[in-house]
Formats: sequence, C-alpha cells, structure tokens
Amino acid sequence: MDKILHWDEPIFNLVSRYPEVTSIMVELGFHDIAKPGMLQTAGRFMTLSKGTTLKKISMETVQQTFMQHGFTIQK
Amino acid sequence: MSELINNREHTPQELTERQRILKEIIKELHAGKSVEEVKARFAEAVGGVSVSEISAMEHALMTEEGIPVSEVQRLCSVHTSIFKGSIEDIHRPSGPEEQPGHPVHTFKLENREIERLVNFKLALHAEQFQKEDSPKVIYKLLEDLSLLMDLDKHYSRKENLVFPYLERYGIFGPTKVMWGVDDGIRNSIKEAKNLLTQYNGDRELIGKALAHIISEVNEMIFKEENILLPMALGKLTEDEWLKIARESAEIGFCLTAPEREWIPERAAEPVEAVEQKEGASGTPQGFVRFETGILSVQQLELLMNHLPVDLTFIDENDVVRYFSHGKERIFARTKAVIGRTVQNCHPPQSVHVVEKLLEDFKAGRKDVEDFWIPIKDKFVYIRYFAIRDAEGRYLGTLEFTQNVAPIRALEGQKRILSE
Repeated sequence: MDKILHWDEPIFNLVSRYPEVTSIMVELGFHDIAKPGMLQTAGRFMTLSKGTTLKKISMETVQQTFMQHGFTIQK
Repeated sequence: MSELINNREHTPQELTERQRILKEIIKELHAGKSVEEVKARFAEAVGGVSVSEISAMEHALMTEEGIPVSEVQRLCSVHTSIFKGSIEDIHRPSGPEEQPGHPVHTFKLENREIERLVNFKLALHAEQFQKEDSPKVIYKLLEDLSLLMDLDKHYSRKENLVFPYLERYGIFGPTKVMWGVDDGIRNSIKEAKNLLTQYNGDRELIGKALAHIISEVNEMIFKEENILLPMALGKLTEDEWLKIARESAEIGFCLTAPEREWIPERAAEPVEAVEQKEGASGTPQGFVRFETGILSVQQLELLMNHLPVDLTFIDENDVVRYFSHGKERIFARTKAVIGRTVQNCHPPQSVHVVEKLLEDFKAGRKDVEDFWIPIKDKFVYIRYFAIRDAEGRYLGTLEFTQNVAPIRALEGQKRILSE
C-alpha cells in the first residue's frame, strides 16, 4: 500500500504522518524545511504545491522523487 | 508571473477562463474600442478580479500574444481605470486585513507596486539592455534600482514591527531566515547599482544580477503572502495589528502608502484605553529621585529626547528596555523592540558581533567598544558601554549613537553668540 500525500496539505501534517518527508524534501532542494522552527511555524502554511511553485521545481520531479521513496501525491 | 496568481479562491479552470476573457477585452481596447464599451462587457463577464490577475494577464499578453511591452504599458492606465471600479465595487472586504490601512493590506498594496516595478519596468529595461547597453538604458536601470531600494522600508517594517510579535508567540526560525534573505536582496540591489555605475561592458554579468533580483523579489512576495502574512494573521491580535499600523509611518512605506488610517469596526474607544494604560500618550506622572537631584518623569523624558544622541538600553538579560526618541534618530527604532532580546533586533549577519561584545562585557573583559561608520553625509559614531553597579556587577549595556560629522567639521573657534 502506497503512502499518500496531498499537494495542498500543510507540510507539517505530512511530516507528522511520515517523518521521512523532511529528508526527501531537502533532497529536492527545499532546504529551509530543515532549519530550526520552520516546520512547526511556516510548515503549517506551506504546502507541496506552494513550495513547488516557489522553488520552480517541476511537479513531475517532485512526484517522481516521492514515488522512488514509496509515496503517491494526490490532488 | 502567472505562477503568482492568488488562486486560493478559484479553481485553475475558472482562472484560465477569466484570464481568457480579460485578454480578449484588452485586445479589444488595443484595437481601438472605447473604455466605456469594454467596461460593461468586463463587468458582466468577469466580475471581481484581483490586481495580481491583471498583472498575470498583462504578462501573458506580452509573452503569448506578442503585444510589445511598450504597448501594454501604454494601456496600463486604461486597464487600471476599468479594473479599479470593479475591484472596489465587487470585492467587498471580508476580513480586517482587507481594509485599507491594516498592515497586511498595506504590505500587499506595496507588493503590487513592487511587482509592477520589477516585472514591468526593470524587466523591460533589462531586456533593452541586452540589446543595447547605451548610457541611456543604463541610466534607466539605475533609476529602477534606486526606486526598488525603497523596499528597504517594506522589509524594515516586517523585521521591526511584525517579527517581534511573532517572536513573542515563539516563532523564531522563519523570521530569522526571512531577515537573512531580505538582507541578501538589499545587497543584490546595491551590488547591481555598483556594477552599472562602473559598467565595463560585461552585459552577461549585469543580466544575471538583474535576473537574480527579479526572481528573488518575486519569491519574497510569494513567501510573504502565502506564509508570513497568513501565519501572522493567525497569531496576532487586533490590538497588536493596531500598534503595528500606528508605528508603521515611523519607518515609512514603499512606493505607495495606505490611503487612510485603519480603524477597526469595533468602537475606537478601547484603542484609546490601550494607549492610556501604557502611558504612551498624555503627561506621565511621578518623580524620580536621583542621588544628585529630583526630576519629574516628564522632565526626564524630555531631557533624554533633547540629547543630541540616540540612546538604547538593554538589561542584563539582553532585553531592550528603553530607547530615547530624539527628533532625528539615526537608526529607526520602534516601540515594538521594547521587551525583545537584542539578538533579534540585529540582522542575522551581524548578530555574532553583538553577541561577542556582550559576552566580553559580561565577563568583565571590556567596558566600552566603539564603532564608526560613514553613512552618506553622516559620520556615525556608535559607542557601547557596559553598565555596572557599585560592586561591578553587570546590569546592562548602553548604546550611544551620534552623528559626529558636524563635530569633526569644527575648526578654529567661536566665542560670540550667533545672530
């Protein structure tokens, strides 16, 4: 069974469910997420879709990287 | 730009449809239809529209439809005259943050101006520069960058008015990170200006520097509007927003200004009460007895504010307790810094200097440290004094800042009164 993530769910929720999301996001280039305090604060407002737009990373790249780690991202 | 559209309230399909209609209307205008003719169709077809949608649409016109930038710019004022009415008529404010004068409203207002400057003027001139690096174009770029430097005020209000409250609610990380990025943007603008004033023919270098500024500034707007401001709205109370609104003018606004003072819908009376309670207005009561005399609080306060220097005092726990409020402060201070630790009042890049200094003071290794920095026509002399009691216990640090340019310029002597 795949682990499910949503594009518009706050990163904080995603990480609470699956802590490994943090390292996958850092791998993708979302370095700020690893900085102290970010997850509990900004992470409650940041979503995968916002982050992807902000960092100008393609949704496919994000999707593929998460897939390699056994995640499916849903709309 | 199109990725910056505020799409919280609309599905992507709806948005594209709206944009398609918007584009058609602009094209009709372009083809010579009158503003009145188009206006009716616009209201009927589109309804409420956000400013960012207009920018996105204008951008799309340039890139996809091939309408020259200059033409779109010429049409800009026409767009605004049409859209203005509808934005205000249809888009009724639903929350306090959408009312003119609310700090969030002002921040967003400024962001629209910044977007316009960066995505139209600066981007256009950067493009021209790649084709023709004449002094004329260089001058235009310098003008844009000087204007853009105004965002220093936008960032300063964020850093000195909004961040302190967020820190009070335990939010430190994002504020520090953002402050660092703000400083990065300020530096990039300064560097780009330097590169242009000493232009040596390296078009690519300048092109890169400008592209970097444009993307960083846009990213910051996105972060502010999608993360920082929603987060602050979720935490801060109305009273706190009021204080921020009231202290905003102290730092100033960027490229625009709030059209009016924000008065929340509740009665104005509690606001007065807040001020009274804090003793921020009215004559302070009471006297202070010193070893060498007695002063009323009013006399003391006036005296401090008439000293031709700026004073800031932090206590033994590094918390800002007081600053004097003279006519021309060299570095802006707002009441929001009071009660905040000094580490959070300095840009992250210079915090280590402050910390080292305080460490030396606390350990008794030093009692004073001086800095001097030329800033434009000023020569700023900044002195830090360790404040110790009779037993030598460290009780805090006094920052003493003074513009010594007029003093350094003194020559000869003066023994008679000026006329």
